[in-house]
Amino acid sequence: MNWQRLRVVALWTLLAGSLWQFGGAAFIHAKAVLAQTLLRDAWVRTLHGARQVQPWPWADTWPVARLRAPQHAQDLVVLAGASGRTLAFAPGHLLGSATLEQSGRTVIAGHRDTHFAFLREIQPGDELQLQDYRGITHHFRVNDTRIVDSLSTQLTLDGAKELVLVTCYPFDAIRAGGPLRFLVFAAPFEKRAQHNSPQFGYHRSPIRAAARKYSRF
Amino acid sequence: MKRNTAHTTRMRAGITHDLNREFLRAYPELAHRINSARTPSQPPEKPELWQRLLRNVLLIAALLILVWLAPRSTIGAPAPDVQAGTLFLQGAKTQRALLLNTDVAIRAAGIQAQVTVRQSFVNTSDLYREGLYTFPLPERTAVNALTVRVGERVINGEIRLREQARTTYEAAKRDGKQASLLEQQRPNLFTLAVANIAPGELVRVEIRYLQRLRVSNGEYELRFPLTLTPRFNPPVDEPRTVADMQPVATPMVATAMSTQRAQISARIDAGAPLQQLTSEFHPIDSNALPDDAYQLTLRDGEIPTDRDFVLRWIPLAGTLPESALFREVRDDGTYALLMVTPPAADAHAPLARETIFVLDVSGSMAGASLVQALAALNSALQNLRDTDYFNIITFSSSTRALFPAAVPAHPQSIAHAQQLIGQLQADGGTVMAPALAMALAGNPPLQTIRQIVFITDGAVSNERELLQLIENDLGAARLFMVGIGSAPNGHFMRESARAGRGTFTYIGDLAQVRAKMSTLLHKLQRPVMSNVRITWPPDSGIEALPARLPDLYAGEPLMVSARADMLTGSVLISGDLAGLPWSRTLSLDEHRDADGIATLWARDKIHHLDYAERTLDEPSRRDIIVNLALAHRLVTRHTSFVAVEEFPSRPQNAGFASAAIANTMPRGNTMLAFPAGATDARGHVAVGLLLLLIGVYLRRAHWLRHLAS
Repeated sequence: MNWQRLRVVALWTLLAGSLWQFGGAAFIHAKAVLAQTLLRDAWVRTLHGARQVQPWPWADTWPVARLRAPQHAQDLVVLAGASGRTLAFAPGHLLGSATLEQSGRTVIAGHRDTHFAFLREIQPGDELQLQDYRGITHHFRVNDTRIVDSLSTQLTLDGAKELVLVTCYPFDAIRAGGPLRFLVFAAPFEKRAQHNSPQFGYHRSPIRAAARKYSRF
Repeated sequence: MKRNTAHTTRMRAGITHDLNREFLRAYPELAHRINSARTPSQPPEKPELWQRLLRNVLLIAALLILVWLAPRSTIGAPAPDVQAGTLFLQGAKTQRALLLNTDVAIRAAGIQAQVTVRQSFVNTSDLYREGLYTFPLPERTAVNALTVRVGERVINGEIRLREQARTTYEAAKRDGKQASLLEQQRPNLFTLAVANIAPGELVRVEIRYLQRLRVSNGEYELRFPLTLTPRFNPPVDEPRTVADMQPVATPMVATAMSTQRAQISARIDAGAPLQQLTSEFHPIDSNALPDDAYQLTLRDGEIPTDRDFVLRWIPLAGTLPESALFREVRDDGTYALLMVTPPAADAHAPLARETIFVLDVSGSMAGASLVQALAALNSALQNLRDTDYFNIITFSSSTRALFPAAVPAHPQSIAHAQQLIGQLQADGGTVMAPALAMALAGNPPLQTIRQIVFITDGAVSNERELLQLIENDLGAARLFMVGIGSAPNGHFMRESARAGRGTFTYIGDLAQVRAKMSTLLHKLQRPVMSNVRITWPPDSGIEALPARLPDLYAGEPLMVSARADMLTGSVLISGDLAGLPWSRTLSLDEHRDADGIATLWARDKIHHLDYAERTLDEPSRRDIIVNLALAHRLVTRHTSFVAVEEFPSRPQNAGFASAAIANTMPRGNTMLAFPAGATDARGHVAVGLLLLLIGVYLRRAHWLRHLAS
């Protein structure tokens, strides 16, 4: 009889534990998705001239750019700094790497299972767009992807203007914290007819529309 | 359509049912078990229960191990196209093209050192090449000579306005002339460019600079930086132009790949026999010369350039006077350097102090920064004396003070503080102003000096407001800023430390937070003299630096450099020593003549103009700096050295390429690491699934019974 009760208790514990774990996972993903909504608002204010806009009052970071990948239907606000705390909410711009106004490498890191999960499908030739705080969109074209061992490789930050996206590798690993990194290199190119891209164009961008709406107040 | 689906479902259910029956038929043993489970009147035999239990445990353990191992093996397996080292380390390629050798000759005399650095560039390619090299020098060095030797030819560098020098260099480069350009990027970072090195040719570039030695507790220290510490975002020292904001980045090569070597020789003339002479990292041999001087050579002949060369020496006790005056007379005036060592700290009880620790506990401090800062804080608390007062203010989005006002450092209050330290968590934003205002508010208890130690890693946007606050409310307090990590606002920290008459400690490497903070806090424990004043003879037209004299701490000498039209008579140095007035008169006629005093004064003056002088606007400041730099032949942010050969050496039609020369990575450095890019979500899902699976496994009999019925 005792044995039976123990078994029931064990089963309920297992079920509760399992739900707890699923909840934890769901929380991580929910945070990643919901934060982007809040960040959009902060980004709109940034485009309107505010600087270092805290997306929520206790935040220790602020939006610095907006990253779009048209072929992968991705539209993400990028935060300053690439600490674990920041990356939970959004991709982070590595402090010290070049900003969009500078030459050199601009490095943006993201989690391989949330915001940067789409990097798995990325192909050379894909387009990446970065909008800076002045509202100017910089166009990049992916020219290479690499897998490197972060223990024996370093990143130099000088040289020509280049966008580097960093995420963990392999994409399917269950545990976080491995040494491998997946890198996407994208070179800038001039895109003259900006308004010709209907989905992500400068004028029709939902954020731009929102910005215009906000500017009335 | 709908009916069709329903039909299929029913069919599928039927099939499943049949399958179950068939399954049970195929495994009669299992069917028996299910049947026996259905009839509770037949309790299982005891040994069988234990066997089952054991089997369950073993199975679960096996499953756990499997899941635990699975991701490990994926990560551990080398990815097919990992090419460590070849991707970013541009060194491998450039090294082959331009080899570099560094030869350093140091001559230390008194409290300054003249250093000559000879760098050799060998072009092993078959193209004419340009060599670009970034190199660090100690801060506030006076770089005052550049010479380029190509074969037998010697080209002397001229000091020019920065833009002018660059234009000259670019023109010479185009014309195929041998040329070299030396520019300051930051006060401690310089770049050297050498154009048109012929294939197979050897070019020697010689740079000379003067630096003042560090003196502390009677020990002299000379540091020759041999490599750049990679910094993601070095504190910007002069963020006045856009160019200054650009990150300085150079390629780095790992030690094993580096072919860079340095030879170092030194001559030490302290003016007295030495009691001790040590090199911190590299074994050396020393020979005593007849006139109390010492000649040093590296025991290994040459060393890889992966760590700084640090030399320390202590003159024999009692052989050097407590104060010294060095002098150099030039056409444009008399220059002097005054060094006064206050009486030994042990002879006097140090001043009582009120120490206020202001600690940033915003989210970005989480992890190593906070843990190490707290450890340093903890040991500082233990070293407080009974006569001291203290308080701890923490800030993130909101500000909290441990005590409403500073309290005496009694064991109870310290215990209370340590309890708080144990509970601190980093979270929230960085709002500095209220914390700063709180630290500056009120007056310190009688007979104590107030020290504010401000520890942060944060960015600030309201610099001006904060600086105003410090300047208005400082009173007699001293502000010591500690910047941790890639603090983006080194300029602000430096400015506030200056306005707060304290120091700025920058800690770029998180592993060093505790050590560097402890050094600072230890120094702060023994304030020896405050209100230091110097009275120069009247009508001497004196211009002395630093303009605001700092407090003196145990073992620290007071160093003042000055320029005067005439320097005779005596100088009076006074201050409060442990609360009592103290003064000393020095005769200006007792001096040692030394070269370079004028140059060092000019360097100090430029530094003062750059950081401290706020009454002048930028153009007039620039004019003064340029004049000083041209008169004393100094490299500054407005002036550079350029050396150009008279006749071209590269034929106009020969090819030309440019190569950056890689610096060696500092030993044990991991700062250029990649950020991590994965969450624990997958791990959570895996563990959740595993638990569910175990549950299902334990209930399997139950379910199978249901299916069977």
